[in-house]
Amino acid sequence: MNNRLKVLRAERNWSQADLAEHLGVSRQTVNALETGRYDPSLPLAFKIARVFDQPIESIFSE
Amino acid sequence: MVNLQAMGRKAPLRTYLAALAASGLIGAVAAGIVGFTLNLGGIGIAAAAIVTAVAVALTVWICLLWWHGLDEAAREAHKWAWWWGGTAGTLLGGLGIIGLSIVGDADGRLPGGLASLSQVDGIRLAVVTVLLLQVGGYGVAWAVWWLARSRG
Repeated sequence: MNNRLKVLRAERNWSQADLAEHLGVSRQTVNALETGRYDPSLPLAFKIARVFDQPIESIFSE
Repeated sequence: MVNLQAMGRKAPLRTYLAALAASGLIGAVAAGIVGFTLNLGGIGIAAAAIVTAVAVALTVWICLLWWHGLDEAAREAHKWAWWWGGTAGTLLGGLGIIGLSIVGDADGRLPGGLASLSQVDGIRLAVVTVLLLQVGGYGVAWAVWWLARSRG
């Protein structure tokens, strides 16, 4: 699964640690998400969508 | 009070090692006390049982605190590692022990240098061997999963 996390994070000038703080996960998990090595659960995907104020389908794609 | 939840998310590896160290310390202290009380006879056995129960309860409590501090990816790493690493270790240990029992002699003694072991010591050795292989497999599988995904 592909995602735009890195782009969305960069637009806000957030570090991985900043995004991790917003999501309540570790920086390593943010890194794994951004590099596509880990796909988030549905609750975490919704949380990501809320943090970036965007629909899930605009952040994640197959 | 240490906030393990925040610690677990900020530094998962350090929190994991801290939880392991705390559990190991409790286990070592309990083992020392149990080793002493068992020599005291009847009352000592009861005391050993109580100390063991308290040590197990404390360790489970630490594990629960640590687990609740993990995020979903870290939990997935541990579940994956326990299944694949633990199962592989069990399989390896099981095959080794079954193999040893097959090549043992007709009197039920283990082969080679293990022949002098009593049955009780043989069982202890088998249990510890399987546990160590499980934990070893778990550690390797965890490292494979987590380190492969958390690199920058």
